[in-house]
Amino acid sequence: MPNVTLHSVGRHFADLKAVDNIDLAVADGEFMTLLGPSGCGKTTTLRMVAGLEHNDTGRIAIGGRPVSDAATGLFVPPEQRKLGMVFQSYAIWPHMTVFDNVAYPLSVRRVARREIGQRVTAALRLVEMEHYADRPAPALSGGQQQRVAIARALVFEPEVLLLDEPLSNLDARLRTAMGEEFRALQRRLGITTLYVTHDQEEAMALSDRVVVMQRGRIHQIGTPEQVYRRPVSRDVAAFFGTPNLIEATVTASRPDGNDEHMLSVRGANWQGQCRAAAAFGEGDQVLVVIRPEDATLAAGDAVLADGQFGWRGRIVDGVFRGPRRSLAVQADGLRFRVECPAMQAMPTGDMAMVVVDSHNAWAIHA
Amino acid sequence: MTPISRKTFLALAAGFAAARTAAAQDDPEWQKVVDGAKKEGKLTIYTATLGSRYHKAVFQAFEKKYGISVEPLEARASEVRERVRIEQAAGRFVGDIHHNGATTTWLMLRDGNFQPHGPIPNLKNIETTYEVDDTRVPCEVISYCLLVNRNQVKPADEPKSWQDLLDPKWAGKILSDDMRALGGGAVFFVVMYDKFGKTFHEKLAAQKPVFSRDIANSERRTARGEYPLYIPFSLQDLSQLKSLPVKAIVPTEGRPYILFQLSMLKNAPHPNAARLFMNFYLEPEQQLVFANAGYNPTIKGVVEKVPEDLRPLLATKAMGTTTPEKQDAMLALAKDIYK
Amino acid sequence: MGWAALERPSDPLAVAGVEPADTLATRARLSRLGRPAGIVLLLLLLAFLSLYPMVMLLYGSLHSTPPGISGEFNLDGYAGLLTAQNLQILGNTVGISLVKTILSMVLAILLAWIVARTDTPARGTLEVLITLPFFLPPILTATAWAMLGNAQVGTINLVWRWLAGTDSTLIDVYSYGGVIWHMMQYSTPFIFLFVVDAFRAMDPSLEESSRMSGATRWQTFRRVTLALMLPVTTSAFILSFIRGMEGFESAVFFGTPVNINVITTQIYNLITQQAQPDYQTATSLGFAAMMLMFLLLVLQSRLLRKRSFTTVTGKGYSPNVIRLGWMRWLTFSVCIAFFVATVALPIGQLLLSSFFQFFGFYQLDMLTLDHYRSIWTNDEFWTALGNTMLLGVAGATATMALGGIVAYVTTRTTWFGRRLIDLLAWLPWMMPGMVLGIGFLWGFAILPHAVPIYGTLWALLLAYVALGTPVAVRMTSSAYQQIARDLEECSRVHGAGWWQTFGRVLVALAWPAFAVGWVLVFFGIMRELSASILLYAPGTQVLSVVMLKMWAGGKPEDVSVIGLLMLVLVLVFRWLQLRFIKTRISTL
Repeated sequence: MPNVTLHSVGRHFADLKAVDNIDLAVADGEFMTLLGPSGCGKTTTLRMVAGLEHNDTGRIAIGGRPVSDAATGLFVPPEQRKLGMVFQSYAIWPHMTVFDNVAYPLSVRRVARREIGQRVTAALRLVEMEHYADRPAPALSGGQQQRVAIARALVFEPEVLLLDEPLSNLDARLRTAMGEEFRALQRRLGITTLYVTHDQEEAMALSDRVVVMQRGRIHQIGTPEQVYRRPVSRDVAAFFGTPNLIEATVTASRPDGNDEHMLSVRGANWQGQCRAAAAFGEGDQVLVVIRPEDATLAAGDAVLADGQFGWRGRIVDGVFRGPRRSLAVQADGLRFRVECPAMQAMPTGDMAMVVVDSHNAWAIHA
Repeated sequence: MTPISRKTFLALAAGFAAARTAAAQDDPEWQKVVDGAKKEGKLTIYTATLGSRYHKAVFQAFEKKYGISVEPLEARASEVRERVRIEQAAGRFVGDIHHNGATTTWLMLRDGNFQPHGPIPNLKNIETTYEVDDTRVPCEVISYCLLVNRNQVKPADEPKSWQDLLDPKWAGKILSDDMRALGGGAVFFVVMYDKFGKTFHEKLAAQKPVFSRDIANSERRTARGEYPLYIPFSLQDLSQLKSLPVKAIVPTEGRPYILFQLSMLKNAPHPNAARLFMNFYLEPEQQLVFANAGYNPTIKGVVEKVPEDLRPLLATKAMGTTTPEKQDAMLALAKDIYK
Repeated sequence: MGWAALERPSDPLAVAGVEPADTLATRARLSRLGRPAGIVLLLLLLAFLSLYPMVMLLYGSLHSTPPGISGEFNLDGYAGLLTAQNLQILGNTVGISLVKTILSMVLAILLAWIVARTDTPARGTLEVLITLPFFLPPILTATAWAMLGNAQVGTINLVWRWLAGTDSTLIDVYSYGGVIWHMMQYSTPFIFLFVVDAFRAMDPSLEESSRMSGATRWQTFRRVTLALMLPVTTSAFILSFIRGMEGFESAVFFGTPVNINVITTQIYNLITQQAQPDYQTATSLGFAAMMLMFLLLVLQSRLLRKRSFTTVTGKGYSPNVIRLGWMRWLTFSVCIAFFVATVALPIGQLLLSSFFQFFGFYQLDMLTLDHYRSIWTNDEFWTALGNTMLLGVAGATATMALGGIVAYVTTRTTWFGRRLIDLLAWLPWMMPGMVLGIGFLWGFAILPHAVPIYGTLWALLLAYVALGTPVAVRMTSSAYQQIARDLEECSRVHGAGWWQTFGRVLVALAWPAFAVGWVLVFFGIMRELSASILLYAPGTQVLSVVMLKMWAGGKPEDVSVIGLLMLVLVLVFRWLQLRFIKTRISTL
């Protein structure tokens, strides 16, 4: 059961708490992503799991075995943790061939030469690099190096695979392709994976669950949909795209029978209903999160249906993005961002109604 | 072989025979020393003569004659002294014999690095010029003279006296061993000072001699004609310069010299071998090895056996040497005069 | 293709995978103990090699007599230092060393750039040729230059007068210029060896991005290439500058005759040129010089603090090679000119001389093979050569091992005590060799007699390791600093322990630096005299001592034969080495 658990793990640099008391459990076979802006502590967390850094507080276990415990001073060095890791720079050793690079985790463990040959070939085949085995490592392209790095991380059949922004050095197209390939590979092998990235799309596309981190703390853990659609805080919400955050006051709150609550809220010159994770009291200040792609535009004189609310305003800006168009609507002192199909847009200067469905409005603490 | 007058030869032969008889065969006390030495089987010599083939030849002759292996440890004078000093301070008594110039030997005697060597038969043959006591055995002498380039200095122009160096025609043409540093230069400075006074050096300084400390190179520079004169030239280097256009001249006043001495180191592990070696070193055969090379021997009756080309140079007056007591003051004075 | 294909039930590692947790924990605890134990061991070793002789010297400088003689503690040694004469000596020392280091640095960087980054023809050969002068015994090049550059009869001046038809003198080696030039023949290849691999192992994108930002080739070279090489160049600069201040041969040959005195010649005077050696003043002067150098080091570490100089990364690259067009023949000539001036001229002079009975007498009747014969039949030479080879190989290997580890600790870890380790490794370099030799003598002699060091080859070996470690540390730490940390961490995560990672990644990547360092240390050992002559014993004599004996025994021609033999040895070493580097790195 190669799962990973972190309990109250922290890492401090002088006064700075790079990682501050986090708890995390990665289930067997799960693909979990640590997501956050640079400096949020995600890489430090990964490196503590790898054993490349010591945790100052808490304990870490891999597959149920404690590998690091700040309280007892237990620290299993990285080479004994049976991990595979892909580094941001790939860390392909320039003095070795592709074969030697991939064979390394086996040869340092004194696996028989014949077996190394078989397993390296198999691993290279897995990443479709078997024809490059004899190439010197530095003579590869970025994507090829990436594949070699993955083959190297997998060849030893590690209990847990760690990846530190492995796609960030690739160009956009290759990034998407490699990401998909990688996700497919991970599913097939069912290997427990801890992945670090600052790219939200990458995180959502690949992960079973996403851990949103900021300033050394975990803000939210959930499936990609949960963290996207049901953020727990303004920070989490703001991290994914550029949502509209609208201040409002709660006028009523009731459970919707579905582990969530339905709130009635009122803002300046508008009122409506939205969902929330918890019950709020009357008069509580909230922020209503509305994703630009969840708002629709109707003619300025359109009538709102039941379960909808909206604002009337003027379209002040429009950016064509190919498949869609980003518009800005100025209404009652609010500036709304709206994403709509490219062909469906209204010209700048027109009056329009921004329409939001109550199910797509999510309230969080202000 | 250079012919030697019959009379001299006979006299020498008689002398040798007498010495031998007294030393090796008749004296039971000495026989004990010889037997003890052979039992010890080994001898370690700390010497300040670096890379001398003559000393090596004498060591080998000793090994051959007595079957006692000789292990020389060669280093420069101050290095030899410091090694002996620290070894004795640390209780390591490794060396048996110390072989060095009189100045260093004097300092080490003062520091208590030696022990008396006991009776040595051949000591009675030592030339009267050289002092003998119970710790220091005069063993050979380095003599200093002038070296001239034969191509550049006509016989008529050759300096006859040391004072001829002050002739204005030599201005800027004298290469000299550094008088401000220990060695031949310093000895030359002291002896000239003792003989001619400070003015000699002041005048010589006005001749702007060029100093160097690389003796072997200086001799070759003179031979190549870079400078017509080199002072002071150690006579035992002459044999190595054969076939070069140079000539050694001992001025009328005589030659400055450095006396080398053998001493027995304190707590020497092989005292009998050391004593036997000292006696051996003073045998005429060994002294002749040095004399033929251009060293002055310390026992009587050896210079006469030297080949004719060298004999007149050795058979000159020993002019003087330096004394340890005033050495440092003299070096300071030299630094002052030769800026 | 599935995971199952990778799996093998018989896999020994899979069995290891079910290892009980407590075994792991025990092992972890052991490795936790291992680090402090390792540090303590390293500290003790370095303390013995460098601090111990220093303490002996410190005692010597504070005590009226050297160890073993009763005396009193006083500050006379230091009090006597502040004289106008010493100030002038200090000015000379610093000035000469600074000028020669700057000139050598510029020349070395130019040569390294030509060899590593341009398409100049025959670069491989040029690289070997350029480094040759470093390996020539200074006593020989000094002799050769005395013949070449003598104001009156020097070959160069004679040729000049014949060509120009004047009576003027072109060069005179007995001058400041002569001292500096003679020093430069050693420091230029020394610095070159330090920087050439750094030039070679640089990610070209770092330079390309500068060019793309609008910088000219020259601006890029100055502001990016050189700036990135700062750790290497400053290391080389400081090492070379310090060596210059400790340089002895050049000053004593070309400076002393014309009254140019430096600290080392002054120390030499104090120890060997007085009836009563003044060890107190000599060691005090040594320490004063050391303090000066220590300040330099502090300056260097401030200069480099908290800057990253990683140029070898996990991403692939091949260094930029600039196409020079016709200019490559110009750069080629620069290298050849350097070779001619520093090797061909003096060695030609020596080679010529070695076949004549005497240096500088080129008459047919003096042609001889005697010098070769005399070396060939000299038992002492062969014993010494054997000892020196043994000490050289063992010493260079041990030194590189120690230096590689010390460099690792000081550049790659944050361990407590690493600064101390760095300092300890540096100490021997900062003390003039002549003084340090005495420190070793004192230190080893007073060890308990049961410790078999004094009077054995061990004494020489330990002294050589101590003397070579600073070069080894600088050489390897410069190389480490260029290796991205990822490459090392990646190895750890994939199952290699510290030692495996050290050997298979760091050392393997820094291999060119290790190889060059090894050769530098090896030939340093071959040349070392100051400590050797104080520590050798009958039977353990080494080549430098035998060479001194021959020199003092009036056989400079024989010494030059040994010098030529050493040169052949260097050529073989360098050739093998570069060949080996090529086969391993040519793929880069």
